[in-house]
Amino acid sequence: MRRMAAGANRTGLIIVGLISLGAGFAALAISFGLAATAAPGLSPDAQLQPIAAVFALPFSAGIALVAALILAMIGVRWLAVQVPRKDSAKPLRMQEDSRSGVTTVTANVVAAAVEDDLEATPEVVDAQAILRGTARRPELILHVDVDERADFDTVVADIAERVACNCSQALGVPLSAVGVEIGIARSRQRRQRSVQL
Amino acid sequence: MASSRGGLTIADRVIEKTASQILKSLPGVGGAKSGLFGFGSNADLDSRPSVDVTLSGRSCTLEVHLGLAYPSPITEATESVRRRLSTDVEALTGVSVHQVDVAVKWLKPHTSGSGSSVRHLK
Amino acid sequence: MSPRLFRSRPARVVPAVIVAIVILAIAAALGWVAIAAIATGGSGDSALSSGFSGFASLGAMTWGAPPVITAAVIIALLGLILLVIGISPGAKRNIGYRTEAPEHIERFEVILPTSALASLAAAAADSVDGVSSVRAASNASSTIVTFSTPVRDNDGIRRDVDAAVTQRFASIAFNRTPTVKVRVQRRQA
Repeated sequence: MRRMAAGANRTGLIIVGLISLGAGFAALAISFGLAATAAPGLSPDAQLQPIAAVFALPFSAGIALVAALILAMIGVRWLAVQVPRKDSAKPLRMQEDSRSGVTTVTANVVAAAVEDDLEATPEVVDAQAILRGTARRPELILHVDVDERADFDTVVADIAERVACNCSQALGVPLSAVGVEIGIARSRQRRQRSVQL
Repeated sequence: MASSRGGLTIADRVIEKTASQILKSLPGVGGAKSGLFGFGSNADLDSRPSVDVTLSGRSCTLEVHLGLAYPSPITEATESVRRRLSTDVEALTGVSVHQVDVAVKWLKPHTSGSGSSVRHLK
Repeated sequence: MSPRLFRSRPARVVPAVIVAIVILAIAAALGWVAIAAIATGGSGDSALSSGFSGFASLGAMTWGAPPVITAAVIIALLGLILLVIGISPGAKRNIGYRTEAPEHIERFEVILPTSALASLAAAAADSVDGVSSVRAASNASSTIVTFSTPVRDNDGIRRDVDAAVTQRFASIAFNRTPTVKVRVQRRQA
């Protein structure tokens, strides 16, 4: 339900993979003499001294410190984006004319109402809802946990006809998208504590 | 003429109380007596509509926090609240209402019938 | 193309976290050596080699030396692995459910994660008489159910479990119904 950094992860893995593969490949080429024709200094018998010499240059410590800081920032940022994001809609503006005042509804308020509505569906044990998009083009992302013997057709029909319809009515516009993820509730994990007669 | 007999000063607290009273009497708005306390006996303070008044010159701006019945259309409901507050506050206090900002804090289904008690089956 | 509502392929979180931690480790080591070099040198124009004596021995090695070749092979292999992990889509983690979008919804999508398929299969198998325990694993196209039973002649029970799971799947309107494979794990009562 929540958004993960799939694109960033794959891009990062590909970049690091390419750099690593390229460096390893280049070193192997030199080690096996394939680079000796291109650059006479790079034969298998040549020492790694030129590389070690780079580390002995003046200011190399300072540059290395800056590089370390940049690498650290990249590492921390990459770890930080792994946290799943809700990506809820920004607060909805639902007034007709802003000159007479603004009507604000946060996405969580609508999502909470939809969650309560979902839990009223028979055979739904637990539910979460996220409202994305805008007030004019809202998107509902739902996750429901149903009983393992549930009739899926009934559950889906109830969500499509009652729950989504209620949300659409409250927002005053048709829903631009509704996504439902159906999970199976772990046995005997009921959230409903009472019944209203 | 009224101005020669002395002026009348309305404090912002008066407008707040007036607006609160108007809101409490509206059906379908959180805090009204029409039975929106279906969420049980816990009197949640956040569920009562609150009004904050800002005066400027001879008019005022209202900031309202309320809850609504779900799934009533939010735009229509808040527009009617806005219209009622504008006309009634001006009629009762003489202060014109420049703007009404509404923040909807919760949406709950309307329980059937006012004053119905909630029986809990354990 | 509008973005899908649900991500159907793995997000590669675990490899990304590992690589990010390795990057942080490299940054820490580099920073440590640099600070040591600046500390011993006493001024800003110190060379990195004054913080770590290993660079001298590094320079003495030749390109054809075994440690260099080994390191190069490892680095190249790791790079290839990361590249494959990044590019390959990975196993589909959702299975679609047939729906019709009602009037007030423009786009309606219902999915079940593959973990739900396994739970459904296990629950269906569990309801068969003679099954003492069940384990199920599923991907988007096939589900494998492994059950244990104290009964010696368990062909009948295996057929019953297959029928129960297949029937349960058939009763759900999947876009593509997963195939069912049933295995027995014989266990003493």
